[in-house]
Amino acid sequence: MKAVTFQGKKAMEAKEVEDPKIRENTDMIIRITASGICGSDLHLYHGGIVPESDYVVGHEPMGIVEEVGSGVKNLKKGDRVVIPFNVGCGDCFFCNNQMESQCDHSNPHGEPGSLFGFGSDFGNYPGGQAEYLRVPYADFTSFKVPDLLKYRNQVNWKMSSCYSYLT
Amino acid sequence: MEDEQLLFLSDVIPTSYWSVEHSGVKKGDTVIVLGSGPIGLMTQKFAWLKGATRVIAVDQVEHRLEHARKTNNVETYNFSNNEKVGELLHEETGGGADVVIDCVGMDGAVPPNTSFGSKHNNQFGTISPLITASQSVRKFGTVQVTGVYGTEANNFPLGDFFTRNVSLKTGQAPVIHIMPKLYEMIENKTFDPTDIITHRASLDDAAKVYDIFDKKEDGSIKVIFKP
Repeated sequence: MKAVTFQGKKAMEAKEVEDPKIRENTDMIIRITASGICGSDLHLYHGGIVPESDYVVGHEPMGIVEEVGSGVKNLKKGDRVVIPFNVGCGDCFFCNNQMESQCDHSNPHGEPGSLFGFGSDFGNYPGGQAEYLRVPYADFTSFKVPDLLKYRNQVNWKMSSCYSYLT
Repeated sequence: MEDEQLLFLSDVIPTSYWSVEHSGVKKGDTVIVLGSGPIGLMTQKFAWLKGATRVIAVDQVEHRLEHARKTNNVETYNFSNNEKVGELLHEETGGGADVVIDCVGMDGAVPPNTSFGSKHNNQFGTISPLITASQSVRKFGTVQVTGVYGTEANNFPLGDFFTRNVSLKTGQAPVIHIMPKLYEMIENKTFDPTDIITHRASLDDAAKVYDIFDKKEDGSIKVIFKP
């Protein structure tokens, strides 16, 4: 796939890299439709954080679910999702108490929580300025955009059945 | 809804919303927002929505201050014309703001006659926004640090915080749990999350748009990729 990669100080370049794959059964892969550049991406750009070469950057993505692991419960292929910059396991003290930016399980390299696209100190999760992204703990680390058309149709259907019942 | 209305649920919107909530802004407050980039601009909107009666933006990039005036109806101060902006804000707010939110972090502009970082190489960037915050917050006020500081800070004015009873709150926003609420606010058109977008690019343009965004050239505020 194509992705924006770190190539050294003041060198972010589009490059072909390997497609992300499901690793844990709670992962999903999304096809990215939009992705922001953030001021904090400039910390890498200026050399304040130095990931390995070809590391994929970015932490403001959204897109369409392409594939889900067997342990993902609430998402399926085709769902539209926005991905937060925090990676949260959804199952620790911090995630359970609305402090998911300090998730205890998602960062094997240190005590602070994990972030997409910030190198090894923050979990070593590749980022979202790319065509595809692996999202760990997919059920928790995502916001599923409600399908408004479907929702409205359901409401209409319920209303019309009430109406039929009344008449 | 379009991608552009939803994309910033990933970071900009919840980080800004959380900054205002976490800092404890309440009805009638004066709020100073340091930095008028994407997070600063969004924070200005949420400060108004929380009931602030005065919202003041500080930056040195004129087109971003212009955008703040135009879209968020805030007072603006350009610190490139004002070396002592912290003291000026203290005076203009009659003793300091209730809340100052630092949306800059260690990447802020280094003031003239100040050395960048330190000779010990332990500090990345500048802490000048924190100095401005300590000067422009009122006694018993709160400084919320949302911009990122990842290293030690040399000459951090701890005494100025202590002697004036200023609270300091910091950190990465926990955004996941607030995304649904903010989605509803976008759906209800409570605020417009799209007005910060100035550039749309393909991944192939990465090198070029990073350069523009870094230098804040070409009127840039927020750049998004459409892969």
